[in-house]
Amino acid sequence: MNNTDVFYRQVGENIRAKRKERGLSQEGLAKAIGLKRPSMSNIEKGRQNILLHTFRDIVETLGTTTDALFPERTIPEPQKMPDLTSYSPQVREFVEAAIKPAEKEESHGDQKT
Amino acid sequence: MAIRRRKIESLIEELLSTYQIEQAPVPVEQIAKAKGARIFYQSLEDNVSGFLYRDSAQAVIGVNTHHAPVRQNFTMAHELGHFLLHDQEQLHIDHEFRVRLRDDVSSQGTDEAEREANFFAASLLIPKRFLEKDLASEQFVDMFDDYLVTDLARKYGVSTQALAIRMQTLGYIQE
Repeated sequence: MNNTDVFYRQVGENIRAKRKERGLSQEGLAKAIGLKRPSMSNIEKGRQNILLHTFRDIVETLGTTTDALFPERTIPEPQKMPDLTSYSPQVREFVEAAIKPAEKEESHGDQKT
Repeated sequence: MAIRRRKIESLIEELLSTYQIEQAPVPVEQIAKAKGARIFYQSLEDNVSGFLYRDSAQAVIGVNTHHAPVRQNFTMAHELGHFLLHDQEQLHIDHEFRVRLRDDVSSQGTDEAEREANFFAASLLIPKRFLEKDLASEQFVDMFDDYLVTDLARKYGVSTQALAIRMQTLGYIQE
């Protein structure tokens, strides 16, 4: 199970909890946002990756916020950079540029590039 | 060892139905993003096609945009294949995609992941049942019918070579 799977499972669990809090059935919530019940079930189990507009509709229908349905952020372990010494400078730069943005996010925007 | 064709084919069926994809071209980028990978484009004059990077915080598919769009599509699909099928390496860089012409026993072990990723890419870009539908009206496929092959390849966003290989894999072309 990778991180993404865990993420969707947690989002699903949060949706289910909030839905129950609101006294809505799976069927009821599904209907309100134009889905079939099995899709709703899949979303709550994290088996189906939710689409952004569906997520928005769920947030609105449940009268909640996106934050409330998002899993709590776990602080990622510091990562070792892969060894790129065997590659050409161009390729190294390619990979480094590609994987940088997420690291920048983690540093909470103190740095400017 | 043989590659996991069945598993890959059923994974692709699942992707197509989850994202309600009914026709070509298959939106590989959207699928990759929905699966949690970020796509990073950069043009570099190098034979590197692309790469897959992942750590506990992110997954990134790099695509070299210096290459033709059809190759970029294939690269993205190939890297997505590694992402969904193989979870060993933190960084995997692909240079070119070789088609195996002969059975070379010595290279089979290392090749396996590549062959799976290639099979995944071809099967995703040219889903079996899409092609079946497109060829249903054809009595036979004339490989020298430039219009048919070129038009189909364009429709699927793949090279004519990739399409020909796929047609062969699916038994449309007799060896």
